[in-house]
Amino acid sequence: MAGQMRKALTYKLVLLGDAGVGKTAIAVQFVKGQFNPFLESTIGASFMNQTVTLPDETLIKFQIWDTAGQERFHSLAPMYYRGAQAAIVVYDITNRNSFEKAKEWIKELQQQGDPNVVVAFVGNKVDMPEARKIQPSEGESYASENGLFFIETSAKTAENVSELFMKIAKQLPSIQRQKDITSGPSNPGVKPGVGAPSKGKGGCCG
Amino acid sequence: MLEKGVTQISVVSLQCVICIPHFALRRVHQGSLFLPHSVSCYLTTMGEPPRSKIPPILSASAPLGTAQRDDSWNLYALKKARAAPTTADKSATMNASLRGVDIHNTIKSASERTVTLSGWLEKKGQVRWFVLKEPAPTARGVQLPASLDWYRKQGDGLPRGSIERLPDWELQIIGPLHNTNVFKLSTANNTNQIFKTQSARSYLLKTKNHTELREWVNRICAAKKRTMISPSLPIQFPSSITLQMMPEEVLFVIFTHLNLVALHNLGVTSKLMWQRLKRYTLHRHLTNKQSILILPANTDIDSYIKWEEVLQRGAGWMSANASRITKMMLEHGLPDDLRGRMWMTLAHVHFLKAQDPRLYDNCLSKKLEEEQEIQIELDLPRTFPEHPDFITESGTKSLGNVLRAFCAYNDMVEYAQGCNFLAGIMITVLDDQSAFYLLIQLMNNYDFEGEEERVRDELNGLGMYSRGFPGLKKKIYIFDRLFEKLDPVLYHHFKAEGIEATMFGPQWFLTLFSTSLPMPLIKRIWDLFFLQGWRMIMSAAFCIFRIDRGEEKREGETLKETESLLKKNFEGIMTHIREMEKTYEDVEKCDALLRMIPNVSIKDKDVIAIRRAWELDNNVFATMLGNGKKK
Repeated sequence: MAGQMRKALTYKLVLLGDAGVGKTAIAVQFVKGQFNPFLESTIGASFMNQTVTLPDETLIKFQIWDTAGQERFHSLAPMYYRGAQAAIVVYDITNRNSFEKAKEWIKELQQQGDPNVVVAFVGNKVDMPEARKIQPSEGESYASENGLFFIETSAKTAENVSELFMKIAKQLPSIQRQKDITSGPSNPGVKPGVGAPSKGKGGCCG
Repeated sequence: MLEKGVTQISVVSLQCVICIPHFALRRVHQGSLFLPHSVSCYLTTMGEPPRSKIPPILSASAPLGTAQRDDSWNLYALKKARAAPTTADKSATMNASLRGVDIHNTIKSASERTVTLSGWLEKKGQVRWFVLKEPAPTARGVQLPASLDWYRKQGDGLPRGSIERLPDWELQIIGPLHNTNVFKLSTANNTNQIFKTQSARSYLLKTKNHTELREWVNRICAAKKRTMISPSLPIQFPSSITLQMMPEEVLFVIFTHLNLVALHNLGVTSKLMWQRLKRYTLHRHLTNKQSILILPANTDIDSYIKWEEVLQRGAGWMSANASRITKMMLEHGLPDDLRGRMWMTLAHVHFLKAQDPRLYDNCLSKKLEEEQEIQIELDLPRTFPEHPDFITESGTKSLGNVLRAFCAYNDMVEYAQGCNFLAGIMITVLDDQSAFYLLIQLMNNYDFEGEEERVRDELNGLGMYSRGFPGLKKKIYIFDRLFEKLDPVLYHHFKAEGIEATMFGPQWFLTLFSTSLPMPLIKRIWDLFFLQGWRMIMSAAFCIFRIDRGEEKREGETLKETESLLKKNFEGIMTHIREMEKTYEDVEKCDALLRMIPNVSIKDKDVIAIRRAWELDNNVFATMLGNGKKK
């Protein structure tokens, strides 16, 4: 087991968005490479982790907090996004309401969260183009106005899912190096860039 | 060879199968009897069975076996009582037990020209109910209420009258057909009446609304590997004539779904007799291996009987003897068949039902806000998607109904995610209506909602599901403090690794572990919960950690991912939590966990102190989070 404990930079990432937009599906696709149309509703929040390898061989480990989407769980969300270095705000491209909810999440993150948090604005379910209600341009322009990065994904076909996390990963270390902050609370002994083994492509430590 | 003149098979008799539970039902509406969940099904199917549901072979006038006089059957009919009994025979006994009741006169059913005779046939413990309709009022003997509709229209549905043997009627057995016995009944001046009884089994197979009983039927079909145990109805007691009236299938229903109180209300009045009947009949019922009662092969019959007895004593007695019941729950486990009843009894569902039997239907007919409707629809396929009960459309439909009705009932909670799992677990052991009532009781009496705090149990608190989750936050806070008190070493290890109770608390406490553990274990924890309340949930949460705690880390030892939680880091612990559903598939581990739960010593004074701290400073929750976030 000790062999698997490769040193990696650990970051906390939180998934936010309206109920049923596919937050859990995105996380599961990323962590397990699977799509299950019948996932259970998330209650409170659930935790997963997954590691990616950047082109410069840096290992980035995501501690992913997947949250409940129903409006009433909103009040619990700060427990999960507090201290997160990255956030993925998801909407469903076939659902206008979820797009509005996503904007609310962005506002809240801007007001409450860490200003350095990397925020991805994600339109999910591009595998359903016929039902599309939100054009990519609309998401794109909202994201650029707010300094977020934008991507459209499909948790079903896995389209852009790993790209999403890679993009986040690429943005993270630079911010963190600037701030000269060590890794997350869970791995007190691990320091960024120190002794990270340069072999191995990605891989899951969970 | 078909007897001449046999022209008609009365489908009316289909209804007699469900007569008996109906008698008991009257009392339910008077609020004095625990309403068994299965009874509500009966209500909905009480009318004449629609023609389309009659098996084709029965509606055709098919020749059914050979006709044969059979005097080994005794024929009984209900007869109105005219005077006090003068003999000590069966009829007198029955008469006595019904004396003082207003007696109805000759009853004619809907058609003026139809006369009805109802009663039963008895042979060596086998009993067949029948209702006989005559096309013309020529029957001699007794005329009595026929259909359930009749009973329903009366003020009190008990069959009134005496029991009388009718020697001038002859019985002929035409023959068995599938599950149907066809008899011919005739008197000297009337030779043209046919009736049949149909076993509950085939009736139920045709009846869609009896989900529960259909399930039972299906189980019979799939029961080859199971022990078949059955009632052959030994008629041993002077006053057990009412038992005699019941087809074995109905007895089964009563034993497993109605409970013995129903029998009691059927006329077995003496308390001593009642005790004797309970023990003896049930024992016979369970040990006679001739037919119907189906129990899983590993069912401990003595334990089944014990549980029946416990259930009879009611919730009050169980609470007063909580430690004894807990021990039974751990040692014997509650048979699955009895679980729904146990939960309903412990949660006092019958009070609520008696108060407002129409509540479910009323709530169900209300229109919900669109937002709620959408959310419920969204979550239906996301509730135990792999459980067999929810793969079918009927399962999710029941769940949807419960959630919609609850949402309409309760404007403080409305529909909150998480309720779907609570209701889902209930649906697996109860019908929708009962699940609805149980959910209400769970929220009311076990403090998932509500503004007022209960004094009785210091672990209870503000509404779990009401907006802002004040109750949940309080529960998490209480758990956190208790955890520190109970196992400071493990607690501080968790803190050092950055583990907070908020990381698992919402999921565990909102759904009472429904999303975190395998279903059989959840149900057993819920048994304890319904008996003893939140204390058991807190204890279970603690034991889940305690059981895998392991030994403390020794000096110089490096951090390893082992089974021991004390040696796990943040991710190890979180993974451990996430994978509980898998690790607890191990039955021995479940047993070990369950045995630990009641032994956790949660002291009242500690809980009171924690609660005070919470009340004094509303920010303690935030402070707790702050403290936990080292670095």
